[in-house]
Amino acid sequence: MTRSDPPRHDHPDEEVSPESPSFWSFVPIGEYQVPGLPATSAIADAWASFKRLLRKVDQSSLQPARDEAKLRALPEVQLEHLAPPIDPTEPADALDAALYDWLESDHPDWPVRFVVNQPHAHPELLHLWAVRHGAAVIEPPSIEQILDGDLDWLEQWPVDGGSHRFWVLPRLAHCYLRHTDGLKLVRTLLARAEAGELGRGVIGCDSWAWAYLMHLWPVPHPGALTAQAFDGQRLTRLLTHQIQRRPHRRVRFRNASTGHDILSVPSDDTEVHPEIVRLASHTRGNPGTALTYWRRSLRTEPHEEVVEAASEPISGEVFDEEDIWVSARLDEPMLPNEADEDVALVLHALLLHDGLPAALLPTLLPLTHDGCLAILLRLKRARLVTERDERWVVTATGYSSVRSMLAGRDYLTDGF
Amino acid sequence: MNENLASASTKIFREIDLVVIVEIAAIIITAVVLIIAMQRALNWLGQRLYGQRRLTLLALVPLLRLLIGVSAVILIVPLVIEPSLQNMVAVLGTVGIALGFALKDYASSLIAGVVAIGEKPYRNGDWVQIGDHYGEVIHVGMRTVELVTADDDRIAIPHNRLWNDAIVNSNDGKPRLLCVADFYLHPEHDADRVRSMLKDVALTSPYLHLDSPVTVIINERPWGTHYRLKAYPVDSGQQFRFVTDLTVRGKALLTRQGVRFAATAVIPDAGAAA
Repeated sequence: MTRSDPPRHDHPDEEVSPESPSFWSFVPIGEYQVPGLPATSAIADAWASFKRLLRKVDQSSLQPARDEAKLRALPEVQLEHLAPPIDPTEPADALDAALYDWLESDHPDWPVRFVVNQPHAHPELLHLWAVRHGAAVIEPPSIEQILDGDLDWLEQWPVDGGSHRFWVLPRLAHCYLRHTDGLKLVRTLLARAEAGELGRGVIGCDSWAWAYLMHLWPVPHPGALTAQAFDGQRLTRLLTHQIQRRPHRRVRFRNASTGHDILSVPSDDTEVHPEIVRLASHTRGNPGTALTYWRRSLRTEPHEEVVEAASEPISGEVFDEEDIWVSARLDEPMLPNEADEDVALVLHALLLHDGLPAALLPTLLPLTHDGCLAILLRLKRARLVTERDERWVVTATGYSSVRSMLAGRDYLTDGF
Repeated sequence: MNENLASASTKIFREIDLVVIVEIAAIIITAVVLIIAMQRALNWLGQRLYGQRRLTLLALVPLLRLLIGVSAVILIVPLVIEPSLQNMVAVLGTVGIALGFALKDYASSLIAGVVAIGEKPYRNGDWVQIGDHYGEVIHVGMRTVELVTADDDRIAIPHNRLWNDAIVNSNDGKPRLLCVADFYLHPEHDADRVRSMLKDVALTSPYLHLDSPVTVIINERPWGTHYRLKAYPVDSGQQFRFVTDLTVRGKALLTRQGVRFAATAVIPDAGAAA
């Protein structure tokens, strides 16, 4: 196994398509490059932000355009074919490549490697990686264990005499609370892990929790890795790769307003469409949120056959074409400018902890239980938060808006 | 003699007819409307921005008002006075003497208002202490600066306090200011542990600006130990909520950890020395 030839443990005989999986790469977090915009798009975006500032709530922008009103969202079955959720196998291959030297070394420089991920980017990656390497998966402590600073939780680590087994802690963000009693456990964990007392392992951490924990534990981590940002080119390749291809069929993603092709699969065209560049920039290179936007923007004609069989071959081996319309409007829930401070506090707490149970919010914030619940329900109605595994989290489509609001008010944000 | 005075006066002042009066009125009305519109627009926009952008925008208000006012005067003066050096010196000197005697304080405040725009001892959005009054600057007028205190009182203070009083500006045009939460503890305790606990109190406050430093200052007093927890909130407007949050959670933590609070009332330093 070489660095340029990452392993594919799950499908060793699978043919590797030209697009996969090189668009995934893990780099030190300092090398993350937020995708930019061409100057004209940047000016257009700045103008749109300014207009939002002048309006109370830009309700009109949430309404579908007349020509798009006739289109309907894609059924789930079709979405699963055209834009399924990210398969963690590919980022796991890239992570293997990035960790190759560390995995192979008997005496690595660091006993622990950190993998920092943005919200919604690749949530299942480390679980898969742990299975692939036979590593023990460490479940996060309970809320009570965190608040009690219960160090017994650290006893479950697979440190057995001299023979250390790999371990993976996928969610460091769930191992602390921003509370005076909620920091002891994570500090002890980091101190012992980085001193090598817990053996060799990989710790996954949400980028927001990472930003906060670096204030609690200000130790340089040059070896911390993150998935490189998905710029327009990478995102095009990801979206192309996601499509489950069928022989002799071309799928065309077309702008619902202009009719221009945004993406065509298969295609010999290597040019990246500006709308995909814009999407990559808007989502700051986060593939998870970009894919969610993409899925939400796909439309199809109502009451018509989606697949139009061509009477004769269109070109080469393509016989059929399938038109998928891409909504020209980004279906994004927006926070009104008047969102009060309590809303900001709740959203910030949710992001710093990678989601929180509602019952815990009054413990962490100077707000009442009813006040927190009312805010959560308001935000849920606005599609900015949702409940997942008994924790309230910021939605993928609301993430950009929430991040932008918190950054504008000088709250701590992640480094991406 | 009277004829000479009359002819000198006609040389200084132009003949003011109805057209000139209308022109002057139009200039004044335009300037006033512009000033009101500009103040309302920038204040309205300022309420929708946060941090440095808000403060920069609000600081423009008095500067733009001064520019509009000066422009209006520049337009009006040639309509009234024959524009020559002698005439200007004569008229401005006369006006200066009149103001100096009759409206000394008012003129002093007006001039101090212009100085305040240049020297910036306070700008809109700053938190300042002038005399016994502490509050946020919400308006820098021609003659006065207006503060809103923590009790929501609106206080107008003449600019001429600049000449003699110290102006304490807590954030000086920046979005953040240092807040201090005081804790008075019984002398028998582990100071190092308490210092760590208080730092955690700050680090876990949702209002804390995490990229700014958190410090704990400890002073031993005759009645116990005085801890000062110093940190910056995300926004200067959160300062009272921030200090309250630090105090509430600091007291709760110290109580849970069995640290006793000083039971004796604070003894003034002078008394302590005696």
